[in-house]
Amino acid sequence: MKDLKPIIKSLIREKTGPLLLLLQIAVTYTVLVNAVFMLLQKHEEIHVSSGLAESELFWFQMSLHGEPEEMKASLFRDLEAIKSLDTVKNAVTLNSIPFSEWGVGHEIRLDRNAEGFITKAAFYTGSHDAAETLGLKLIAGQGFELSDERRLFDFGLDTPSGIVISKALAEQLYPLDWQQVLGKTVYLNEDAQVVKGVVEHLIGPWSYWENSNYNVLFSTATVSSEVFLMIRIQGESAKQSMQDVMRIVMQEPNRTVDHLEMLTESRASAYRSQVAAYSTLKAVVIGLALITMLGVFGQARFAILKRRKQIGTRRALGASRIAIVRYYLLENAVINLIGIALGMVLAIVANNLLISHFNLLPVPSIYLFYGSVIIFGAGTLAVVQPAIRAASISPSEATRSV
Amino acid sequence: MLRYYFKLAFISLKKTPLLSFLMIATIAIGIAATMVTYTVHYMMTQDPVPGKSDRLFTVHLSSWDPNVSYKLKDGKEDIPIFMTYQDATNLYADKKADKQTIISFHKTMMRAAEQPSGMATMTYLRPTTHEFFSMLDVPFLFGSPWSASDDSQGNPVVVLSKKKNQQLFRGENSLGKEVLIGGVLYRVVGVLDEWTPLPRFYTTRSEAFREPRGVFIPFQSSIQNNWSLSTDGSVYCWGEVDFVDLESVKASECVWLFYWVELSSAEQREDYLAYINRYAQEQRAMGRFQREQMNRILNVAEYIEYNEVVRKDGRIAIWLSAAFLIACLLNCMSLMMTKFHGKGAEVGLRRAIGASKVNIAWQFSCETVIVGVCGGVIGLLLAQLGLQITAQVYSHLHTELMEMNLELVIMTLVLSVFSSSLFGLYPIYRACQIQPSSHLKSL
Amino acid sequence: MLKMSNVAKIYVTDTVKTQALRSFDLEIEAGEFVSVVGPSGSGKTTFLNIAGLLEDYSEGNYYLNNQDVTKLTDTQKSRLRNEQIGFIFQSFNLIPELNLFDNVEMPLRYRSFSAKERQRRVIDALTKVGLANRKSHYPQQLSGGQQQRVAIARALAGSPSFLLADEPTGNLDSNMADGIMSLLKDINASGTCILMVTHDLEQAHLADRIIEIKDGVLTEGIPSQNVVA
Repeated sequence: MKDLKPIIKSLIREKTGPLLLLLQIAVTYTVLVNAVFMLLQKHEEIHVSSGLAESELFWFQMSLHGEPEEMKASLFRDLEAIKSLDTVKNAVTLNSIPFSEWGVGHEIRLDRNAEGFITKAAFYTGSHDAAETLGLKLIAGQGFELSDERRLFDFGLDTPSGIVISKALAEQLYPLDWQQVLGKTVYLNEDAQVVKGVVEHLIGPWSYWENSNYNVLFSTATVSSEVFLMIRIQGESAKQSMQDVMRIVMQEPNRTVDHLEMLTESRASAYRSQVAAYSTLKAVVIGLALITMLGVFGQARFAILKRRKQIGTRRALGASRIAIVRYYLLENAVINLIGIALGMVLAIVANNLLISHFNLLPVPSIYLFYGSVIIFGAGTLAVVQPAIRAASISPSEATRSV
Repeated sequence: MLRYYFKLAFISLKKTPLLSFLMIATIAIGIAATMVTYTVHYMMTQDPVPGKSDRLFTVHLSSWDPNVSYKLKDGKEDIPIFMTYQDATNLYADKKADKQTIISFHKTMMRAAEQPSGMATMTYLRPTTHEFFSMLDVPFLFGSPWSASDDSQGNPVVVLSKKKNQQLFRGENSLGKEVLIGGVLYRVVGVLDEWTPLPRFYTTRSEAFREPRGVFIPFQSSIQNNWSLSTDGSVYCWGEVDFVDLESVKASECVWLFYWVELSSAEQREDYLAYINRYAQEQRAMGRFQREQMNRILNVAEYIEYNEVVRKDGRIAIWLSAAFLIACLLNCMSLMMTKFHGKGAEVGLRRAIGASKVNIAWQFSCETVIVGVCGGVIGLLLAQLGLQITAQVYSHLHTELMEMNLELVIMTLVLSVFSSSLFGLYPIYRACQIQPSSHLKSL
Repeated sequence: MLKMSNVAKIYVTDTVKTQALRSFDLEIEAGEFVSVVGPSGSGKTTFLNIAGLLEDYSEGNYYLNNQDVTKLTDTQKSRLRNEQIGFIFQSFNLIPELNLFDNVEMPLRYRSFSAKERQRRVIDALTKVGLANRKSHYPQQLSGGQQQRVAIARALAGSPSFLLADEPTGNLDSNMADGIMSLLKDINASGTCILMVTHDLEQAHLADRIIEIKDGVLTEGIPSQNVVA
């Protein structure tokens, strides 16, 4: 630490060189902190829990033909046949599919006559055992029984048969104690339904929707010319299961099938732009760390070249190699720390600009710490080689005049 | 003289290869990062219909539920970007603009009539009217748009994109051939040439940068086929409606159609809006349009802006990479300081034998310019690489977004030379200030 | 040729004021060969820098070729150095990454000579110092004496009327030093005025006259014969 004073003195004397490095570190720090924060936010967004057994589920859309009753008969005939397959654990029909970007939403109210609505929520309706098949976890109340299932050509919301909602929606409706929602009447647009159960997680059809965690489950299997089927596989081979299901489905003449994909694929395509942004941010963070290292490395290396004679003199006067390395590491640490301190101020300013221009969330202060660690680590790593080089300068440099 | 300076600059750069490499590399990386993000943004914000974009307008009506607002945007009430069937057909029948078109969506199975039935694929259709093609300057390879009477009679005629024609008819002139769309025979009347307006402004945000729909049919034909609403577009409803029944949807307050008009000049905008408002008042008198009237027409640029077609992610990325470039330039600047500092003795000598400050400034400027040019060229190459990687990462977006045009290539080089020169000014200034007498004792 | 009256130089740093030169009066005629002697730190180099327009002075007047130097701008001084003055340094100050030709050509580059004229002058100057055949060599391939010859050629290339030499033989062994001195004598014989700083009294005696600087004060006009080694 006795080196600290001469280091600070020489930094003040040198001014521009260290100042530039310091500025560079500050700017890098600013970008880094904001980028790392956005990176982790994206990470959270992409890896949000869906509540579904994604890797065991696939779905497709198929056409139904003929008169309404024929359509209905054909749908349930096929469903029964699919359920009896060895490679299928269960099969249900649903009006819309998570991540598929197609679905139905309702305005949610607790008071029918309220002017505004509390929130909007996506609406899933289908076979009575849809929740179990999807892998949803019931955490309060009860789910649907076979006796709840109705098979209609519309949603049948005018018949009160109860709904199951996601916990996120329950918390939105009753912020103080979400369990209160059980047994309460909720209005979906105009239609009154009683909440009979709550599931832990359920993701909506639109990944980008702000309300994607607010979802309602209902037990009307709706029949129309195009229906969605969701299959939970039995055993290891999803491919085998898909083949078996398609064999049954395609026995019907005129039948057309669309999509046919694993829910994991649907998730990947729903989030691909976020994933892409995530990769870009990752590249930015890595690039920044590299540039900082390059800057510190270049700066230190040439500072040492410039000071060969001075270092030689120190060595001649009895400084050990360790002392020389220590001197440069310390000098670098001082610049880094001042740079980071300045960077913190800039980062907060930049973050405020981002918040006001792009409606981003404020960076939690822990990220300032993460950024400091990355920059300080990269900077220190980069100065090691030049410092060791400096230490190997021979004391005889001191006496060499030209 | 300039040649002499460049010669000196080359010699000087060669003398310290590592330093020169670091300077050029940092600039190149900074430039590449900036240009990759800027290219994507630039291509996203291009004018999709040059020369016309201030005369094309989309019409938004306040037809929503009197009790509840359609939605809130930035805390304020907003109206639908779609139109009801009744309003779209009413306005279309009025023909008050130079040209007007209705844009809808549908998906169904489709194949060439000559193909076996197993070849049918699920296909996304674009039901619209014949004006669509001339309004958007769509180029035709074979044939032409269908006629106005095809529209009014809902005739089964179809226009295919170049790509779709390739799939169905191996790219041959397919005029007069037949295709089966959702079980109905359609006759090919036109094949488009390459047509990829970016952004695809006339529809929803999610389709803005994806492959365009390659099959166009008259809007009325999709209505006459009694195709109910498919699951590939958005429908927003209030009031009574039965989705499965197209007749019910047609009579409902459901909004699902885009409506665009072309005016003969941007100045006619006020007149047209006045007409729209008069229409709204008539409807109000008949009991519809009971909400506060916020009807509006937006031109292409306004609609793109409104629709947030260009994601804020992209703009943030530009700011991030610009800050990144500044970090790189600061780095390069400190390397230059070191470099020029090391040349103190040479500067002193040159000053002693009669070089003026201006001479010295020129010498180092040439060096800076070389660094800038090299950084620019390498940065350009890195940017191409970066864009290819970006194209893979953003595989769902159109690849044309990740291609530089000549303008951007020149911009890259200019940005590199300009920014490195700007950040070189101070090091050069410092070099010029070296006292001729101060370094002569040692070299 | 050169006339200084009352020239003084004061260095001011944060804490100390140093009087490097006081009240300097000196006149040198065209074609003269003058040696400057004195202990180290006495102000010899400061004097030479002022004479060569490399440094400003704090007081007094300095006329070079009857021109008042005080009033010149930096650029004008540069030009004057380039056209009228040649410099020879103790450590040669050749640029290692340039070959001999380019080194010698350097001062000519800051004048508007044609490429042909530059070529002629460089070859001329290199011939005078006997190194014309090595023009594409680099300085580090030469001995110290040869390097100093190149530096002299560089000083001569612009055909100055006035050569300033600061310990030109300081880094050389006596053999080489003798060669350099006789070269300087020859140059002086052809009419170029030389002002040489040295601490070697024997060399100093080769000049027409010797001036001595001690603690920034000039003892002028000691005839060379009177100085006893």
